[in-house]
Amino acid sequence: MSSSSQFKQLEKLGNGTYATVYKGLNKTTGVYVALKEVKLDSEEGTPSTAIREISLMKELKHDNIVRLYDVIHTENKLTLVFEYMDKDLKKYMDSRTTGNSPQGLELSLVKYFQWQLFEGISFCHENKILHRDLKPQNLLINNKGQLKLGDFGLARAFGIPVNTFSSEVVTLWYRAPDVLMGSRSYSTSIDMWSCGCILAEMLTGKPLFPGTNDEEQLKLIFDMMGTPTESTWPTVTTLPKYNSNFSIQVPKDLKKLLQPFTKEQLDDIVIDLLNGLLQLNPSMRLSAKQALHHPWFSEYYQQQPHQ
Amino acid sequence: MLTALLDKIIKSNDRLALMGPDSNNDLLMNKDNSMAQSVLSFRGKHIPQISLEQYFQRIQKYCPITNDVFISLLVYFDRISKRCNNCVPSQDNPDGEDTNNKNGNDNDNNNDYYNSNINNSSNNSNNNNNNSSNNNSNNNSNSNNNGINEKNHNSQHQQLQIFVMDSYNIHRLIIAGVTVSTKFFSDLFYSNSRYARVGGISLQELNNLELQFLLMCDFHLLISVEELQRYADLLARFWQNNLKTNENLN
Repeated sequence: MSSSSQFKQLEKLGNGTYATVYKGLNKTTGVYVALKEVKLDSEEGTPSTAIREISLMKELKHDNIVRLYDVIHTENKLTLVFEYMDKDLKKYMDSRTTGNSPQGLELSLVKYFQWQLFEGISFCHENKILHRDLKPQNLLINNKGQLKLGDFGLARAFGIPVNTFSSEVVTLWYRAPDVLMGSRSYSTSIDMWSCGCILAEMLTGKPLFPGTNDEEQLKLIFDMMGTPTESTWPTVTTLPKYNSNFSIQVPKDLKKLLQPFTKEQLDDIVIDLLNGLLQLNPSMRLSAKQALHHPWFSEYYQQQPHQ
Repeated sequence: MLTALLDKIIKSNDRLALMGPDSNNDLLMNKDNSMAQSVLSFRGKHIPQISLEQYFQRIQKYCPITNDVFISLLVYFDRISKRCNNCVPSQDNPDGEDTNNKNGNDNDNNNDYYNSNINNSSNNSNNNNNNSSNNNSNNNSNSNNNGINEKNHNSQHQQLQIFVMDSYNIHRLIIAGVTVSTKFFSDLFYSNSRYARVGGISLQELNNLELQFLLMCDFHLLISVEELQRYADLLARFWQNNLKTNENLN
C-alpha cells in the first residue's frame, strides 16, 4: 500500500456517486492518476459501493477497464488510486456538439469505441461480474482513443446464488425493459441493453430513450421496439410491473428513425447489431461474446486483435 | 427449511469452534507491523459469554443471512490467515503479494492449505499445554481435532502465526465478516448500527473492525462458485467425520 504523501493532489475532476475525484500526480514516477476519495461514514462504515468497487476492480485487469492501482487508507477516508483518463464519453460527445444540435460521431470511431466497450464488458462477464451502470458518463476515454469501463460502484458478482438482486440499478435511460418491469433475476443481458442504448447515442449524439420516470421510460422503449407479448417474450406477463394496459405498438424501423441524426449513412449491418442488443426479451439479447463476433466488426476479428 | 439452515449453521459453528480454543497470542505482541495491529483490533479483553452457536442464532434471528455468506466467512478467514501467516514481511509490495494470493486461490491446493492451517493451529495448542488448559471451555472440539487430523498432512511451516482465531477474537471476526460479506454479495443489507447491536459491540468499533477486515483481506472478496463449493464440500466432509468421531466416542 502506498502512502498518501506519494501523490500531489491537483484539480477536482468531479463528484462521483459516493466520492470526490481529483487529478493527482505520482511524485516518484511523474505519472498522472485519478484519486477517488471515499469518506468513511460514521453511520454506515465503509460504503458498500466502495467495498464492491475496490474488490471487483482489483480482479479486473484488462485494457478496456480502468485500472485500480492502489488503495490508501488514512484516518477517516479511503483514497482509490486509478489510472488517469482524459474524459468520459459523455463529455467527449458534448465537446463535439456544434451549436445547439448534437451530432453523432464518425462511424469508424463509433465502431472502435463500441468494440472496446464489448471487449471490456465481455471480460467482466467472463469473470462473473455485472457492471449494472453502463452509460456514457462511466465510459472513460484517453487521448489515444482508448475506451475503458469505470465506476463499478453498482457492480456486483453473480453466479453465487445470493437471492437479492435489486431492481434499482442502472441509470433510467439505460435500464433494460425486464428490469423496468421489476425483474430481479436479470444477468449479463442487463449490461447488453445498456450497450445498445450507448451505441445508438454515439451514432446520433443524443440519448435513445430519455425517459423521466419508469412508466415513460417503458413507453419510449415500446414505442420504438414494439410492445412485448407472451408470443414475442414468454413469461413477460408474469413480471411484477407488467401492465396489460400498455398501449400496443409495433416495432419501428430503427434505420429510418436514427438516420436523420447521424453523421454518415447507416448501413444495415450496424442496425442489425443494434436490434440484437435492444431485444426486449433478455434471453434473445446478444451476449458480449456474440456481439464481438458480429459482422459489423469483421475488420477487427479478421485481422488479428490490435492489442 | 429453517431447520435445514440451522443444521448448516451448527455445522459452521462446530467448524469454527474447532479452531476457536487454540490460542497462542503472545506471538502477536512481538510482531510490530500493521497486519498484527489489524489482527489485534479483533481481540477482546474477555472471552464473550455467549457461545458461538448462540451467537450465530442471534445473528440469524436479527440479520438473516444466507448459507453462502456463512461459507464465505470460511473462505475469508482462510484468506486472511494465508495472507497474515505466510507472507508476513512483504508489506511494501502489495501488488505482487496480491497476484500471488490470487493465483494461489485459483488453484485447487486451496483446501490443502485450509487443512494444514487447522493442523498447524492444533500443533500450537499441543506445544503450549498451559495455554490450552486456560481455554478448556470446549472439550468436544479436542476430539473434533482428532477427527480432522487423520486426513491431514504436511505441517512444515512452523513460523510465526500472526492470525490465530481464538475465543477472544472469533465473535468480532464473525460479526465483521458477516457485515463485509453481506455488503459485498447482497444488494440488501442492514445498517452497520444494526450489525453492531446484534454483534454486541459499538457502532464505532464495528466500523473500525469492518475496515480492518477489508484491509486484512486486501479487499480480495470475490469468490468463484467453484471455490465456494469446495469450501462447502469441505464443511460437509468435516461434519461427517465429526459425526463418526462422536459415534466412536459413545
